[in-house]
Amino acid sequence: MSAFEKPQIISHIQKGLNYTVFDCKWVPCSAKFVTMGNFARGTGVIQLYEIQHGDLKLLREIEKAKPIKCGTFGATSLQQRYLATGDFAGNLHIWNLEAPEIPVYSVKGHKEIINTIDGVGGLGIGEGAPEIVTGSRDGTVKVWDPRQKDDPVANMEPVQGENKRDCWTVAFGNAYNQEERVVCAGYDNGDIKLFDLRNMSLRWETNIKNGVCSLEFDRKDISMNKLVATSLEGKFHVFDMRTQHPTKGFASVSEKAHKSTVWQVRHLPQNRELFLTAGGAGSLHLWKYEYPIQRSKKDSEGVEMGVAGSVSLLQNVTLSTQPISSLDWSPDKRGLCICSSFDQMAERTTLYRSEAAPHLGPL
Amino acid sequence: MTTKDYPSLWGFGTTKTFKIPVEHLDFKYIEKCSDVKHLEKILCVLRSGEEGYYPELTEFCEKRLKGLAPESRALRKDKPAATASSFTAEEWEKIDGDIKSWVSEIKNEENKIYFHETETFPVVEDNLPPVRGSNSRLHVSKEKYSNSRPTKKKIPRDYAEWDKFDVEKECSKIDEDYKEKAVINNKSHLSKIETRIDTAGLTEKEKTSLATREKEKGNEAFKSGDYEEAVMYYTRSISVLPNVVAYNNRAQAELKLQNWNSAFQDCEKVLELEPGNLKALLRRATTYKHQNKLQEAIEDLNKVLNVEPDNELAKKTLLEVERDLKNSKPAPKTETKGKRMVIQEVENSEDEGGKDSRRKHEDNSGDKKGAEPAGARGAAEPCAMGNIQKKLTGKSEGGKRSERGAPRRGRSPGAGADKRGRPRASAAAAEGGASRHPGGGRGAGDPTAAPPSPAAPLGPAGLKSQGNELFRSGQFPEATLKYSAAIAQLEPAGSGSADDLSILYSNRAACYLKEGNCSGCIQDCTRALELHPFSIKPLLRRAMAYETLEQYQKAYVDYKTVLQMDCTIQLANDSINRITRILMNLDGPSWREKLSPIPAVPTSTHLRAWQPATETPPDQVGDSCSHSQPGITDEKMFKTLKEEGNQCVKDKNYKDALSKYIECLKINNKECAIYTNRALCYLKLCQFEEAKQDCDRALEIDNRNVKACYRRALAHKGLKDYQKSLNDLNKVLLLDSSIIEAKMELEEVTRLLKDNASFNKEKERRKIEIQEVNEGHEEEPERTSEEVSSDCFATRKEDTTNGAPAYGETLPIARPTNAYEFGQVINAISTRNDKEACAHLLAVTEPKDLPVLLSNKLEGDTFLLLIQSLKNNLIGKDPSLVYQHLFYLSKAERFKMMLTLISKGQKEQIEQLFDDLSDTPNKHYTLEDVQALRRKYEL
Repeated sequence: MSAFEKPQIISHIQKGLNYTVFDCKWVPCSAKFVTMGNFARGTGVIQLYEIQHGDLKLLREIEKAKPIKCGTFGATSLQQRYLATGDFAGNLHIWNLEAPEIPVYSVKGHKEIINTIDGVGGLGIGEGAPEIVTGSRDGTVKVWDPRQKDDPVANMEPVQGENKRDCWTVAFGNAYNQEERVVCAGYDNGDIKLFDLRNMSLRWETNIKNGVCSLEFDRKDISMNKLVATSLEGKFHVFDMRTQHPTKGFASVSEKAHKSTVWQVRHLPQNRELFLTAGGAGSLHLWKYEYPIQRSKKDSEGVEMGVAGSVSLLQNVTLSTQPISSLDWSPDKRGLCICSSFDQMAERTTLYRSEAAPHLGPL
Repeated sequence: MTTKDYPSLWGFGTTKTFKIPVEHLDFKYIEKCSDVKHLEKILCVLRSGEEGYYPELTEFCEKRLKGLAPESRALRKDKPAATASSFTAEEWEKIDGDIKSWVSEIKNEENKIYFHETETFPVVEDNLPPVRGSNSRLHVSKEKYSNSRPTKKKIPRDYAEWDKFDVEKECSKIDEDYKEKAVINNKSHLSKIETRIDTAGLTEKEKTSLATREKEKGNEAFKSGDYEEAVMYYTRSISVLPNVVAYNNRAQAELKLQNWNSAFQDCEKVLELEPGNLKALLRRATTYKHQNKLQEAIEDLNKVLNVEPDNELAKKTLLEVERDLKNSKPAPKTETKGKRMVIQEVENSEDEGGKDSRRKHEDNSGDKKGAEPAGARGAAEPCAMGNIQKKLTGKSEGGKRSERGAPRRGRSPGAGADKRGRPRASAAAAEGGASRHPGGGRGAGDPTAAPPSPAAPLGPAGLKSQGNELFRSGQFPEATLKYSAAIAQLEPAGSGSADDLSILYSNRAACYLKEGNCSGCIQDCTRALELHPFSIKPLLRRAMAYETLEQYQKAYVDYKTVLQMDCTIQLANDSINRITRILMNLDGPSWREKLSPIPAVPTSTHLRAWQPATETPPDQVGDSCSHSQPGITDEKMFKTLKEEGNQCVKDKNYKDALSKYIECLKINNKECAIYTNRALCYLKLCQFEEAKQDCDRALEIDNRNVKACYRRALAHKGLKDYQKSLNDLNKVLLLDSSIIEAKMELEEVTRLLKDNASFNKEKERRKIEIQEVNEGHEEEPERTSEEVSSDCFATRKEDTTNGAPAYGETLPIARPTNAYEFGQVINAISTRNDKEACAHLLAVTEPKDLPVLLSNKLEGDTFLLLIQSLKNNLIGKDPSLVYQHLFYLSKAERFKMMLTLISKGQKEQIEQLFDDLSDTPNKHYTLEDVQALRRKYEL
């Protein structure tokens, strides 16, 4: 049983692809996933794969005019399973993968590339309306409701005249009832901004000194609990989002994880205390967050302030020499995940499937 | 985003960069080096190959580092992902099979759902909330921010929302917002979580996944200690799809929140859906335990242990419950002794040939009431009643005793008139204290279980009933004497009175058992069994005696024999379970072979099986018949009576409830709940004095009973004794600060106390004194000695009233048995910053239990308090204990964390403590020990 002493990351299936993969996502309630990227000839591609007999079978390949940078199923119902994507030209599209010729929803949302996308309110995750948030190189973060054409329902942009920062990552959170919802955005200069969509206000901001590559709340559909932010120089920060101090903000713990950039962080959907970070040198690290005995304490003036816990490394592996660009846990099978990496040359991209050992922590 | 590969920190390390002397790259140096950072650097140099390739040294360095800092980053190695080859074929088959079966499963489900795809989704649209700010997108989309000053804007509402506008709510929301600016409350979201989920239009699959998801959220919240949140999510999960797991988990969360009742209900629900669910049984046992239903708890735990004999938690809880059960027994016993003596003095002062008249009286009542032995007691009491009730107020025993006896007066006709009964009366009163012996209630039933046979000569029968009487009141040695006398009289009569002799032996055995004279008990039981083979009681008693003497095999055989005759005897069943476990531990799996053969019981003796309880309807249960019921049926009746009583309370029929509870207490006077319940009835009937006494009684049984404390406070309030009321309320709040009623009462009482400030306390006390003496004169004009004693009680009472406030202020500190109790006490102490109490607590606590007791609750102020009380109060008295405590404290769970958190000043205090410790040498520890410990405390 030595192999099972701690969670293992097992490579199940690997597949080389003939295009650059930027993002990959599981199709909810299935053994399928989509990969998004661009062909060498400069067009975008969406591929739909299914696991069949221990191998991957390409079910569908959709070619689009612009390279596709990111995608999400977060705002769709379990019955529809529409994929929302952002492309290099700043277009937001929603596709019905059964009939992908014409998008279900289409809007030219940003002037430049949409770097990142997230959805909430679909799949039974998060109360309230289905919404999509996009972040772009043009410095804006926009929230979209698929029921409203052409215009975003909320737009967060820098004031005129100020430097536009490249928004690299966005994440929804705090959607525990119909009214509450926040968007967190990370920028290339290390800024993290937390927008409260209920009050339409900036609730909190901080700077982690290096570009913010990935942000994720441990759960979107509970009162903000934890936020993980990964950065360009190989560190990540875990913020305890339960207690906000009026001046000090949220307590955090940081950890040097990888030897280079931490490109992605994803929490296990079945256990919010576990998360996987994907690093620039093709490494995957599995972490566990442990809470402090008391999550908040009173400061000298008697104001509540949060206390950060600690993170411990459960397992680390190196999958390739090149950065892992995207990572996604299966919502249906505990411990199953896909990740894509730029391997050797951009043209020959390999796809990994990894799985943490069957008994991954308790519960 | 472009790919930038940042150079790693360690990658280019050389001795030059780290400035490590080359001689440090050496086995000896590395072995001694305890500087983690330095070792990391050495390792890095070794790995880089700068100074040459030394695989063994590298490995050695890694090992050393691992020993010092297992979490060190330098130890993280890149390794490839595991593949099929990293596992044995078997393991891989398992892993691969798991994935394959999931794939086929999910495909099936997918096909099921998406077959009806188009029909279902329009419904979903209807449930959705409106598009955010759809009327105002122009404003919203212009929302801007700057780094320095974010602008804030509220979204204008749409018309539909104005319809729902609730002014007060909005106002409070604004208030809330305002507060939030100062403090953002981390619990505020709880109230905003909907407890129900609208599941309209969802497919089964969606419901299941939703329920699972909510349950998972609950689990996560539970694990991070947010139990209220967890309860919320489990409730949501249940609202989607009622499921066993969610109920069960909610029960667990409720347990953590100490909502015993809700937890109990959830357990019931689980057991309804899935009878025999072990977790639910275990959790229900815990709720029982905390609601003081120890017997039920034991039943549940035994059920669990029957299925899973190795269940550690169940074993542990069972031990705790059994201990509680034991504790609730001897505690009052010891206290009674003191008080009984006081009353016995009174008896002595008026003992005018008491024995003669007692016997006469006994005969008399025997004539009148035939074979009803309890009648004698009933007859005697009413006379005592008047005296005692006046004599003893406050916490004295007799008052309660008399009040318990009071209703009996009505049921023993003509008894009160019997003047000759008086000498007995004081005796009865004296015994009253003793009868509080918890076993007394049940045990008392036994001797009388066999009514005296009319054929037997009067002498022995009288002696026997006297013995029974004495036994019932807990005077076992005296009872033994009576039985012995009776036996001596009967012995010559030979076989004709074999039955009676057997009973007498059996009864004497009961006395011996109570006295702890196990061998005597065994002898008597054996004799009783010789005279009358296969009778249950002697067998049971002998079994108990054997068990006490740890002759488990013999005890087992006896219990088994008993069960052959009557398999419903819970006591025997429980004991068998217990003994089986013990024997298995002692003798291993072949323990049965070592048993002597269990005698087969002839069928004819089955007729001796005890009458089922149903034969006597509980309503008609009078003294005699309740006593003639054997112990087990007593228990059943006790339960029914109690339930009836509770029902009466619910129906606000307090008088009936009162009588039910009184019946209950006759059967079993050790259950705290009955006293508190009866106190409630008295309170409702405005009989405050009685209520107070009941509460006293309950508190003697369970010192931490919040209800009793609270009700006593009310009783004190009713008696206008506000100071005591205040004390009690404070105690209640100390035990559980969340009781709002207590807080409100506290306010009111404080106000009343202020109003009453002009009425001097002393004055009040005197007034009562006079009343008492007056009453005494009215009812007992001829008894002058009584006056004296009542005076003496009055002074006694003064003492207690003076003493009472002090009692309320000092914490009752008993040796804590688990982390919960310890935490409670520590909390109480730290709120008062009572170092003396803390020192006392530490003095009674085993040092080696400290880590367990502290569990993971070691906090800064607790830590400091412990250190301070060790330093201030204990070091002078017992330095070795201080050393032990410090030693084990350093093994507590959060100790390391604590050390990083304490301030400089606090560190100095610890330093001082250590200095003191090294100054006071002791044979239990050496200076080196202290030094080692000092290092542990990072000094």
